[in-house]
Amino acid sequence: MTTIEVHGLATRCVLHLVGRRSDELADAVGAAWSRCLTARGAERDGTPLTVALLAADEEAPENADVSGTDLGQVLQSLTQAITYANIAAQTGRLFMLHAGAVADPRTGRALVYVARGGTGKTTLTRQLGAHLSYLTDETAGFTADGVLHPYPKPLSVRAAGNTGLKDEISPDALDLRPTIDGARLHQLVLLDRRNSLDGPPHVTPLDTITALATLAPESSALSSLPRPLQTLAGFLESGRPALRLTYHEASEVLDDLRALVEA
Amino acid sequence: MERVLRFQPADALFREEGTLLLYETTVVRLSALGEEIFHATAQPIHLAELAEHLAALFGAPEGDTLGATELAVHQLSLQGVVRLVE
Repeated sequence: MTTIEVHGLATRCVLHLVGRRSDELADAVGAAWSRCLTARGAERDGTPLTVALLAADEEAPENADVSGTDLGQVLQSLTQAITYANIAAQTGRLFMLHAGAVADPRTGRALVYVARGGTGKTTLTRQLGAHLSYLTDETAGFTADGVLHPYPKPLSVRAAGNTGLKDEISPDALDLRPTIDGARLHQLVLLDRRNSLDGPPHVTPLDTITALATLAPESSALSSLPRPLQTLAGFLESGRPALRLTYHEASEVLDDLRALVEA
Repeated sequence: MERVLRFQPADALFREEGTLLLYETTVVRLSALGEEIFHATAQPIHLAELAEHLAALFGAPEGDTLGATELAVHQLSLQGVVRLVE
């Protein structure tokens, strides 16, 4: 058995890698989670996970949280399991949005872009992360005073061949800029990607109620926090209102998004 | 006769542009009418009394005031904002 600790979202998640192919699995996990192998300050412990990459003639152990014979499938399921464990560990402590996040490394100003799964968040993260510090492409977690806790997980990129599978690729392998600590929520953007958009992309400032009505379904465990709507409204009303970005191609909006946080 | 009572949300936000209620797993945006029903049902209130209250504030709807109130309450109950109690 091999043990690996994965750190992100202010949470330590211990992985017990088992099975005859555990060395192969350890190499793959270490490569994909390269930005999450060291702790970033105070953490909570998430539920430990037992993960098995099996040989063809091997039975999954009964206590396995994730198991399978296909490495890509196991890595994809493991990413989801770690995310769930981290969210569970931070329930009632962090605001957590289903969002990508990057930050200006000079100022720590963070751009958090919220979207449903499958609507281009990861594509945008790959492009933004070439210029801005990569914080996450999945769950943006922040405290009531707006400090983000990075979750620089591997990016889940659709595999070739329309298989429904995703490849878990390290942000280092994609040359995304280094993750920073202490970034602060500066601008919230709600992504509205439309395949059939006529005309150029456009940005619409949102009133607080509309913004939060759209954000809340893309949050995790929001109601477990004290006065969560009041706190989020405070962010938006004391700083910058949330924006809705309606667009088709990520490349069309990169400059506008960078300008929102770059000094 | 049944009365209407609201569920207590985890948090609520009141602004000029509307009202937002947060429950354990859902968020509900209320219209002005919905907000008034929310406020008026902090304690159980008879439907007829609620209908009178709303008509005084917003004017009587076309047709059946009680029926319109019943419909509004039904819609809010589907969203988990209010419930009928004995």
